Amino acid sequence: MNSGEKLVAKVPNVVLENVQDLTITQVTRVRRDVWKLATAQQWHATIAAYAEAVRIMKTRPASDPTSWAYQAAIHGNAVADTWRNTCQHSSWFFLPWHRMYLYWFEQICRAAIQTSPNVDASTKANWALPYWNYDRGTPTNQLPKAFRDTTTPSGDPNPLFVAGRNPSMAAGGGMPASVTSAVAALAKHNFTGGAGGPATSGGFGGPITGFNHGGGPIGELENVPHGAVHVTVGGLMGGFNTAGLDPIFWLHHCNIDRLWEVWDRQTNPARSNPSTANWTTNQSFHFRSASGADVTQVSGGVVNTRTQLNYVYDQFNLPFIRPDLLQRIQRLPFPIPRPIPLPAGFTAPAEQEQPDRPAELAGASEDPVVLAGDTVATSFSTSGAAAFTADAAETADPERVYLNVEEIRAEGQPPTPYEVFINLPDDDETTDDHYQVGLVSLFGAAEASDPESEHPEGIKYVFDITELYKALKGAGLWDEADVKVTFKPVRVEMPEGASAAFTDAEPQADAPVTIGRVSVFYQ
Amino acid sequence: MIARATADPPSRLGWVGPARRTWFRHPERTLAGVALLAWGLVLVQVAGHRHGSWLQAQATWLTMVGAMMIPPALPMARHVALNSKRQRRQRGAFLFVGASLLPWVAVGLVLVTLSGPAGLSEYRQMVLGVSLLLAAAWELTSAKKRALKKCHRTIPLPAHGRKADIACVKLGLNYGRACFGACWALMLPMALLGHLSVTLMLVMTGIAVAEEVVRKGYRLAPAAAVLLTVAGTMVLVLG
Repeated sequence: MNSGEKLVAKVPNVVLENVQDLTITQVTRVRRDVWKLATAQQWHATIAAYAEAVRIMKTRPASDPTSWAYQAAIHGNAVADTWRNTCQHSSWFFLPWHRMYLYWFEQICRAAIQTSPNVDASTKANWALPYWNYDRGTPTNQLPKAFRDTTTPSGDPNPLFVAGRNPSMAAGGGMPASVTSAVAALAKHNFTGGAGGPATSGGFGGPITGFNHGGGPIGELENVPHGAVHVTVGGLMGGFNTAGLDPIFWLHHCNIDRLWEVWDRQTNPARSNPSTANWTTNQSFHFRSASGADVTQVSGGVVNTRTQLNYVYDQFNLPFIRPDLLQRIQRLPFPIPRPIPLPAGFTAPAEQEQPDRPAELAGASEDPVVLAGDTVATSFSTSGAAAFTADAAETADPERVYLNVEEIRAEGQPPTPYEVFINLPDDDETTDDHYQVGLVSLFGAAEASDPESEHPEGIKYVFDITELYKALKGAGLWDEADVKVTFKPVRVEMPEGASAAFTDAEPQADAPVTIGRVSVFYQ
Repeated sequence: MIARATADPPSRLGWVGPARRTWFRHPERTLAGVALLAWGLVLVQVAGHRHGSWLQAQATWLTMVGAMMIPPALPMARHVALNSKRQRRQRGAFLFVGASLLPWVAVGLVLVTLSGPAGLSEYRQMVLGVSLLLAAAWELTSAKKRALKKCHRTIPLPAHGRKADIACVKLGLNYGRACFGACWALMLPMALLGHLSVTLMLVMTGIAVAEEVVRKGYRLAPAAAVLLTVAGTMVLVLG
């Protein structure tokens, strides 16, 4: 199965952090945090070897399955075939498909590195894809400098640099915690969503689907940090068909792959991947091996990276939380509706099962909401709305409450994700977190707006706001006649001393996004 | 792991409970009942007179349209119902389906009116066979594939008032246009000849339902084309 095994030598003196029950075998590779590598040396041998692999792959014709262009086309392409344009989004196959994709891409990189005289023997023997853990605060929320420099230390064009990224990110800006934090995703107990009809969420890993290229509700991890990082980095990263052409894409997805491991390793309560045959074996996917041959994998064949794919990550820490955010959380006037991301001893609060009945529309916006780069709000009434029991009898209070952001369409690549707030009382930046529902990454909005796509209904986000609803209602801040939902564009955090020109270079709304409807559902 | 269903609380509605629960969970079943009623009328009409007045021909056509074109629309009708406020679920679903059938009503007014004087019934076998082969050929066109994809396109549905009604009608018209683009060839024999065998109508309906309900229904088109080709050839050769 592993065509790259013959290239692999024993891993010497591997030091792992926070890895439990892990036995390193002769063929087990270790994927490492790129910022730890870059901190030790900006052009660490692992990063330099990756650049060399990218350079070699870029010299190959696009028709070569091991070329840079072809590998990117597997993710998204104007023309689909057995291999190309097959990425899985808004689906419970999102995580396993990308794990397979990374695995075979890594094999191709590794084979390319073996042929290069510019890579030393030790690196050739041990090389694995690094990952970008952007959730450890500054500077890890910035693009590593090796990906921003236009040239290598030797003065050659840098294969890891691509033009057209978000100017602020290209200038060394950092992504805010709302973009990088996986806390909300990791708190999900269930891999897939429930059975709430129009308010069915995607759970941790995505809704139950067949082969699904995009469109429809998405899993929490696919939204944040996955989609949010895609859109915030921008440029090639912002679209399905071009994302794989940015070398940072592969490191970003290694981190998403690692976060799946982090989620799976949680024990309170124990998490579990789907076990039904529809997920494990019935749907297969095609990729290209290091020799360009067709290879096929199923999700059940990639659930254990160590035993099935011969690689591990160097650490599985739960997400980092910035001290200032923690301080803000502790000042809340009522319990925060989202999991409190404590740096140690973290346990997710109990997540209620979604009732097995359709949710009930309580209220919705009358007109579309256009996101054009500025903060925008919409209001609507939920007056007279009732919740219903499983027997369709009216009840005083809803068991669950959802905020749906749906029918989202974009003519082009969305310039930035948006944070979503409910009943925001003012513009005081220090109180925002009280009312924040989540974030809409908007990744895939343009693709899902294509009438020729499989899901031309656009993309959709479902937020369970039950605890926030109860807290606001208890505090007298929930007016049924005026439920206000606010969308705030995410701003990249510029480093200290950055010139005003950088701040002015925030992404502009050249491709407005239209939200067809914002609605509240009771269940 | 799939979310487990929570246990339903004891019903407070007595014998009404189960029916009300079904109505609540599956609001589209009212329209399914309408489709079943239409099939019942089709059976009655097939057993009765084949030749009647213009009005009878129109009624026959509309009955067939209801029987054959409401079933593929049920998933979208469910979408409309569940995205409407409780008190307007049925209203929204009926507005949607009613609007979606308008293109077929227009077709009936033209084709059914013209086909009678044209005397097509005298060439029944040939018209049927050629229509089936035409339907088979249409299955394989990119236009059919595009139309099937458009059948899944939705629009935002406001919660209240006239805007909500208009949105349901607009979605119905959009869907109806897409559905007509996908199924016109399947319905052509009935428009030209009136009633056919119930078996053939069921097969046509089955193809329409499978292609429109399944997300990638266009992948079924080659199989449908083979089926229609075989049927058309048999009609032409065997008579």
